Amino acid sequence: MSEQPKPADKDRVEEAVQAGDYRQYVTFLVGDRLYGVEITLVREIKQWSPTTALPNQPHYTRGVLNLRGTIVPVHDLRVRFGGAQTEATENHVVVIASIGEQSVGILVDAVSDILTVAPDDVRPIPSGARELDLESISGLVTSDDQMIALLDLPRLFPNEDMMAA
Amino acid sequence: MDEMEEFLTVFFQECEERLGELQDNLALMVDGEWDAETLNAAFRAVHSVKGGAGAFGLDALVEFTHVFETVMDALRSDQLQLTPKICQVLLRASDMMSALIEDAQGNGAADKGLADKIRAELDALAKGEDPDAAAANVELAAPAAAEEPAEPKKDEAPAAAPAEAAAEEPEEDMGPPERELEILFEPGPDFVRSGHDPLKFIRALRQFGSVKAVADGDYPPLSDHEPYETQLTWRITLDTAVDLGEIDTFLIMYQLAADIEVSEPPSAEETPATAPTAEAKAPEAPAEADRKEPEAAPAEEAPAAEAASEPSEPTKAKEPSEPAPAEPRAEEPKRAGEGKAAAQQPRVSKALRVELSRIDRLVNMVGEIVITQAVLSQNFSDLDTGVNVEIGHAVEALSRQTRELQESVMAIRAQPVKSVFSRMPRVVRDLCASLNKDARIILSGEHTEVDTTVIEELSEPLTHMLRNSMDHGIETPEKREAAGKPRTGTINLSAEHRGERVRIVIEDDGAGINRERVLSKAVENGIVPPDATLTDEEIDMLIFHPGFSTAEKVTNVSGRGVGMDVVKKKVQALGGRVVVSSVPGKGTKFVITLPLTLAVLDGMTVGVGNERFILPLSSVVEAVKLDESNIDILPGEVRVMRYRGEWLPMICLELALNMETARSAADLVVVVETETDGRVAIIVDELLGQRQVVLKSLEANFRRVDGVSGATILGDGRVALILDIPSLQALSGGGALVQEMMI
Repeated sequence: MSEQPKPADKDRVEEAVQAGDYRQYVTFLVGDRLYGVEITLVREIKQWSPTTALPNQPHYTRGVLNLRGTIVPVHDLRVRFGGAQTEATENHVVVIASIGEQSVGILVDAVSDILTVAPDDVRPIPSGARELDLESISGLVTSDDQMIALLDLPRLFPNEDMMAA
Repeated sequence: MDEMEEFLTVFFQECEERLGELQDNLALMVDGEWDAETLNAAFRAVHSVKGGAGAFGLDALVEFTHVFETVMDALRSDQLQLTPKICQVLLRASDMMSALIEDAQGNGAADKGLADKIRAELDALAKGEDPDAAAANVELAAPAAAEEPAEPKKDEAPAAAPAEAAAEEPEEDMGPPERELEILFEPGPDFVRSGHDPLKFIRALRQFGSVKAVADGDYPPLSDHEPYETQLTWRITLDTAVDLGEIDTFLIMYQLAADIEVSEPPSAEETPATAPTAEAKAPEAPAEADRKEPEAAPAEEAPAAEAASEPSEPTKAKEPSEPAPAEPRAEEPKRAGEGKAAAQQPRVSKALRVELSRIDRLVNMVGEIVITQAVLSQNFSDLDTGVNVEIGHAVEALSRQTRELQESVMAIRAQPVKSVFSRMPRVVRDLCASLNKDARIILSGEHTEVDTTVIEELSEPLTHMLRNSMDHGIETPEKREAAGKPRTGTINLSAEHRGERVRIVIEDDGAGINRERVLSKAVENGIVPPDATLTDEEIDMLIFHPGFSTAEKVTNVSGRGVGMDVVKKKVQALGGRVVVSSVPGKGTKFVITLPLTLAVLDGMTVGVGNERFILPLSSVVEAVKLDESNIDILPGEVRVMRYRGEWLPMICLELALNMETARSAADLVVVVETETDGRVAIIVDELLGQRQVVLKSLEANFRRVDGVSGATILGDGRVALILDIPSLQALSGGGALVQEMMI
């Protein structure tokens, strides 16, 4: 419970955020699990719209969509973590985030909250649990007794071109 | 300081343009198709570089261009007759000039020795001597000659040159005698603001000899006195032994802000120098002449022929100097008729320099408009069309105008391939020297216009291919003679439009590809299995394999096994293709086809299941109903379709692209033309119409996808993929194994 600042501390927290001591994360839901992406990487959040499939796309990729004239790939986070393909409806959202110079869309069930986290509150992944998928998680945070997995986007959605280079 | 650098940048840009003009005109002279105006234009080009170089204190360039200019001037005034030999010297000089300009920019090192040698050749020409002898002399005594101030090379100020160049030079070794020069000095309104001071100018003249200055003009009443403006002019008499050239160099700096006329009173032993002051006046003169040049005159020999041979594309506005592509098209044929007359005039393109990023912004914006317009049209056609006829007309008009807007914008980005082609003769000349071969390059279709991004990327592959042709193709003069060919090899470099693409051909008359050696090398390098049987064409294509090189020894020209595969990669990255064909003993031909633009294309939208794809309209031949009785299956499950007496391989999109689509009807095939392997049949469900599509890159946010050259946004905002037929064909099996091996 120590993470969520009390209103009285708000100014201090904002200062601290600006000073870089705290970080803010956008959290979102996939099923009943919470994930977080650093807020500075999130460009926008938009309602799901049908995508166009690409030839030979990775199994977790849903295709591409038109984001005001640029073509952005959309990845299904549930499939990426081994789940079934999301039955996307108008209630689903796509989080547009930056990976380096590129933009990607992440299909999730819903956006949950914005979380301010002190560096000390980010816990490493338990070493016993290190599996392939977990490499794309950069840390864990607890909020309201719920665990939030912080995503390492470049590892989560590697660009094969870049891998090959 | 920054400002200075900006000026320099502009100067170098201008140098490049001037060099282009110079080379064009020299090329005409080499071909013997020149007249007085050709010479004048070449002279002006050299002269303006000299002027700028003087202002920036680029001494090496000033000195060189000065000598160059003198020779041009002698030619201009008929003191010197143009011979092939002189042409060669001039060509070399223009190369050197370009090297010196590069030098001045801090990259590339001009060969000092070579510069001196060429300068000596020019000097000799200016004096009417044999350039070869002079070149030989300079090799022995280069530094001394360069420093000697009394050496004639320094004193061919055009005013005096006609007389000197023609006659024997008895007094030249002593330099000009002391004489009186009259300088008319008229400061312009900005003279003081440019940081000059009339008094300082007059004082500075004293370095050349004694100065007598007489002020002229009325001084206004004090109430109207404008301290930063000089109303007076001065008549300066300068007693000097210094030659005119040096004084001119000094004056160049001031001439930007003042009118300065230098005249030399005729003396007894000299022919009346009636061409005085050409030098001093000149900085303005070329500019004026330029302005008078007809703007749209499409230069040189090509346009007339080109326009005539391209009647199928009257709307494309190919003439490079055409100022506004939106001009009425009807003018095109007329212009072709005028081409002959216009060919007499040198080309002066009136151009506005605009940063590419600004144009790109415009292109993007227009792309958005094209999409919005498509949305509008689509939505409107979904409505009951009886609703309002006038809205219908407006929507149609908008669609037409959008297309024109888009063509105009693309025409802004289009450039003649000339800017790349014109660099190639120099490459060949350099290679001739370093390889001891003899070859010439013939350019044609330089006015073919291509999108500027394509142009930028063309230079490297073209250079590589020329190197390859020079190194592997063209034989030594001895071998050529033995084979019954002319000693001088010929390389043809041409460009032409083919539908929505541009076709660039490099053809040499050399030895051709040595297939035996290529094959054995490929087997040796493990590129193909030893027992493979390849067709001649397949063997030829092996030279594009990465790491493949047959050069017996690694030269610095080619042979490191990089080169041809770089060419292929570069061309593919531009959405183009390269094919080689070769006849042993006769020569080799490379054909590159590239899209005209990377931004828009006309496409046919087809539906497959619930996906929609775009086929480039230029490749679509026809759509026919699928008839099972026309289909046969070859061994290896390759399906072929009988089509007008041919068997066409069939491509099933969902298989080729490995996509799941709920296919419904599948009762249509679209026959498309590939550039390399004839026609193929693509199975689709329905045709959804033709439209202009804006090409969007998948790489920007994702990566390159095989089988697809890009994506576009349809009227409903959805993304559709644009199919890349040759790579699709490779993906669809059948030829896949061969293709994989080739790439």
